[in-house]
Amino acid sequence: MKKILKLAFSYIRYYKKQTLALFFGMILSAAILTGIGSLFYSGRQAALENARQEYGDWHYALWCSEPWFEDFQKNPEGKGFQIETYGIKTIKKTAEEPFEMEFVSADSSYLKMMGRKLLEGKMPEVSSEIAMDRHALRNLDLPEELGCTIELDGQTFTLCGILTEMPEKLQEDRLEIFVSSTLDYGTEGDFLYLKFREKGEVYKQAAAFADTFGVKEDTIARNNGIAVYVGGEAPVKILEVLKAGIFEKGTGLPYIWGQLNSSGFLTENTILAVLGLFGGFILYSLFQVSVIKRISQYSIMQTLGITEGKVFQMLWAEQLFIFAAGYPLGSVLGNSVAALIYQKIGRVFIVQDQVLHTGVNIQEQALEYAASNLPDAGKFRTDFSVLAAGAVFFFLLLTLISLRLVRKMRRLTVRQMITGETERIPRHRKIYSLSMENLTGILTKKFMFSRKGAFAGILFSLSVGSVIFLGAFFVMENTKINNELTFKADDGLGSDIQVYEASDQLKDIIPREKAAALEKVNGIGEIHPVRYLLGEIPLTEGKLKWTSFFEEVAEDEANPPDPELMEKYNGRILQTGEKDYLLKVNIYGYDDKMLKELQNYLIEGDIDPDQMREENSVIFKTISDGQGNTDGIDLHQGDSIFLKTPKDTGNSGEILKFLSDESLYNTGEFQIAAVTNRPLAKVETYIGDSGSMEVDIIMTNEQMEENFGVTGYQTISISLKEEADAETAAKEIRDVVSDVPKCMVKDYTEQINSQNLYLAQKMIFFYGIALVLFLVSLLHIMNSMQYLVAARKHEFGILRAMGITDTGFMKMLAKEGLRYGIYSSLAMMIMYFFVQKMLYYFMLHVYFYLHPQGMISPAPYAAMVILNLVICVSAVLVSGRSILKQQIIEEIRE
Amino acid sequence: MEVLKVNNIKKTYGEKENQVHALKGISFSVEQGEFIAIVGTSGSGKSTLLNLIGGLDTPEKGEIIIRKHNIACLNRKELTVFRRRNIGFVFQNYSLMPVLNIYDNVALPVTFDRGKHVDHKYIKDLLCELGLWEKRKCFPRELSGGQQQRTALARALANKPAIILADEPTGNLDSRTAVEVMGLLKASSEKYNQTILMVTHNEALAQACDRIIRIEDGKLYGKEETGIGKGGDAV
Repeated sequence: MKKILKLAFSYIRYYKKQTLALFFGMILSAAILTGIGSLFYSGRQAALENARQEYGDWHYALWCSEPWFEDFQKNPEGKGFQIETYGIKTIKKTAEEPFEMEFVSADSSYLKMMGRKLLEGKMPEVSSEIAMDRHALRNLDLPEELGCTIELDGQTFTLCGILTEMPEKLQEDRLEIFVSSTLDYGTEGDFLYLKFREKGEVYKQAAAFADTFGVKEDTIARNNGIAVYVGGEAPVKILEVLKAGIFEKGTGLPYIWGQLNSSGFLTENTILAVLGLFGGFILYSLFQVSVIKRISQYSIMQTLGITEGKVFQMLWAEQLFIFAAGYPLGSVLGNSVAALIYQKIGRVFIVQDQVLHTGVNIQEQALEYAASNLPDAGKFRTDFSVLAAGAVFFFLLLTLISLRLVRKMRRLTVRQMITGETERIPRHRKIYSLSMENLTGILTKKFMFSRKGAFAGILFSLSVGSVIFLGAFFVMENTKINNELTFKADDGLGSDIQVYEASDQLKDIIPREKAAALEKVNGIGEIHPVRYLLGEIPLTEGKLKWTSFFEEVAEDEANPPDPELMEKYNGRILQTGEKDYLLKVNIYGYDDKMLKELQNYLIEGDIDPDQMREENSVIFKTISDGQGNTDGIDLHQGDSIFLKTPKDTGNSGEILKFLSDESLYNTGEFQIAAVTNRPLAKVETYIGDSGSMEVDIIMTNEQMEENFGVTGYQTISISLKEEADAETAAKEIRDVVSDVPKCMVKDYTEQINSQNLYLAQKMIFFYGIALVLFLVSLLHIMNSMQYLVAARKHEFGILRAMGITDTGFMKMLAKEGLRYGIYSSLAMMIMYFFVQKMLYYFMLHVYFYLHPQGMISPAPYAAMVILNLVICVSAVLVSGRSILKQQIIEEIRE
Repeated sequence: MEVLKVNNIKKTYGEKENQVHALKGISFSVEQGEFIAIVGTSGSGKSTLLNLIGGLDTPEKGEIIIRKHNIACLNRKELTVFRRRNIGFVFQNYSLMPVLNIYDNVALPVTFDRGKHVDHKYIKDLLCELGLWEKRKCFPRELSGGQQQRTALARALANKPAIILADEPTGNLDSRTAVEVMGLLKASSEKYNQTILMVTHNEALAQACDRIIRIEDGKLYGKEETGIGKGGDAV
């Protein structure tokens, strides 16, 4: 073994160029894999820390006023779980008025888990004392002064302490008011909050805990906010998910991806796997070149009696030497660069709320979240598990490479190995000189295809970098469009400021004269007022094809209808016959510019505001499902709808259930001019408007006035001039509408800026990956080209002896380079075609991008093609120059 | 007519203590259509001499005049073009392009000259003469050593050069094939009035040539001999 190691080391030293190429290949592969792994890990950790603050630092909670609790308190340990800490909260009583309130006492662990710190005073010690946070004090309209007297639920307390607020995401539920543990209303019950040691997946520990103490698992509540990061939920059963995705209607790939990628880990792991495989391919290709160069030496060793096993050991040892030096260095380099990147754009790696196939509104929430509420990236952390996994991966890979090369050698006879005749005899026997005057082109072409493996390797490695670049460009372009359209759909025309009525009363409107006044505010660019009315349309004789789309008529116990919608509007839909329904619809009045913008969401028909006014026709915004399908309602361009609206548009309440006397409503017939899948500015305060779940009838503002007498506006979208100061403009706008009841002004400028910055940072990251892969490819291409040219040194020597000039020789090589460039570009196009199809599918059906473009502009393609050509020609010419520097006679003797 | 004149050429390799004087002032001349053997022991300088005549290497001193051109005065490009048009090579290891078939291998050097059309009739003649016409679509690896060397000879003849330089053309062949190739070289020399300079250390084969030049230790050795080949048969 010692001799083998010595021999391997000698090869490393002798073939310096190959060793260096392999060494740099290893460094770059390790750097990109571990660096990106650590970036993802840091993002996850930052998201986890953020989630701890938002949801509390606990994993599970359960009712513990049970006999097992005594055993637990005596010995809170057991097989299969380790509890890091636990807290107990005792609910003394609850009250409903004026808010939902919990009177509780809690131990210090619970307070710590919930991040509840005493800001002033002390926790209650006697039954007359009370402590709460400022949020609760404000809501209860109480003074924030210690010692003040408070009356709650018929009892008088003295405020003895003020605490920090509850974790943000738990605030909505109820007010938590702390009282003394001695206080007893006779209705108390204890809750146990558990935090397990975060090692591995904690759901297994929870199961072991339940098993140990005989607790029913379904009585344990999970902290969903952090469960995803600590393995708090049992993983989905992949086979079942696949089965459901394939066989169940309405699921498909979006469902499978949504289930398997619920925490975003699948995306990250896929990226890491692809990077690892790419690195592996490069290492294999580099090492193969090195081995082929000296294959005759191994054959001579074999004729001298060395076994295949020893040859394997030698190759293996050689690679392991390089691995031992390159992998740690690459990991340090990758993590150092990653740390720098993380400092600058760390927040792009923080796991966001995932966009699943369950509804478009989630995406909008995620977008809003991503834009303005991302937490600090925190500090960079090296992911040692990726480091270890990467080491194991490369170790196994190098073993496989050695095995494969030995197997490859086995296929050749010793004579073939000695003479280096590893190529096959070409199949085409055409005599080219009969039809061509210059054979150098044929010669290069033949040389190129004679080593198909190296040829394919070059094409692949060159294409991968280009495909990643084009893919990133494609996604980014569509993300930009999507962001723009989503903002439009959210607040109207990508506007900077939105003025709207935060009311569900039709009488609350922004008067027409206010809209006129807003136009005079300094810095205003465009202003788009929207009129609104609630209406109802009949869908008879099976026109509603998706009969289980609406919860109100789906009869699905797991998804009951929204009680608020039921109470206020008698639900969005009412079944009146076997195939007959009455559907509530939002009716919007848009201005001409908005109607034209709506073309972006057109499914059928044409939007012409003048014609709509003339014919009193409308736009029908239909429903769409989780996969972007829009054939749920059988209404099309040219069909008529009967729209029922309240006569008194200032009247709300019972009339909006559309169950009152018919004399209180008008019914008009309208022809559908166009069908769209999205509205623009939306009003969500009535039956809601998620963009996909409701039907909207859209017409011109003039039609709204003529048909229904609606003159005021529900929302006004405002775009500012570029040079305008958003803050000042927003203030002036507030002044204009200050006397309009329930009128709100929302300034989106910061959010839009934040969103654009975020997107730019993501683009930098993806282009960065493409650049690093490109560098790795370059290293591989230079090495492969050098090898391909050097392997033909003898033939080139002959050509030179026969009289090919230096210029002719370089021209011949340039032609070869061009050929490589052209074939690489073709390979890139073919690979990219499929990648783009896949990305398009994901954008459309999984991430619900709005109107994604199916293709990118020709400019990036052209840039990539030119880059491929330049790289290939340069790589061949650089290698060719070294040939010209050598003596012809030396080359002939090779 | 004098085709080649070698005048007092010297060539040294290496430096200081590693210096090797490969050629120490060699002079001779060659007439059109002569078939000359250059013989000598290993390291005597015969291959160096052939490389210098072929313009593959440059002498330190002396002149090499081929068809009245002193090749030492030509620049790199001129020398390449001159070599293409005036010199044909036959190497010991055949040195064919493995990716081209036999016909294209033979036609290849002609295609280097832009505007010069391949004389397909001449190439066919050559291939027929050398018994390769049936094998014209084969690739070098499909042929025997003798057939490959015949292809190399056809390639050398394809451009109708002033001189063919053959460096140990039979070195890789068995004796029967060597004799066969030798016969073809001689026949070509006669048929096309082709000047051939052949390096060999096979005394018997050398005897089949018109003239024998002996080199020993970088110098011409003894008197030039007339081989029995002049008007006689190969061994």
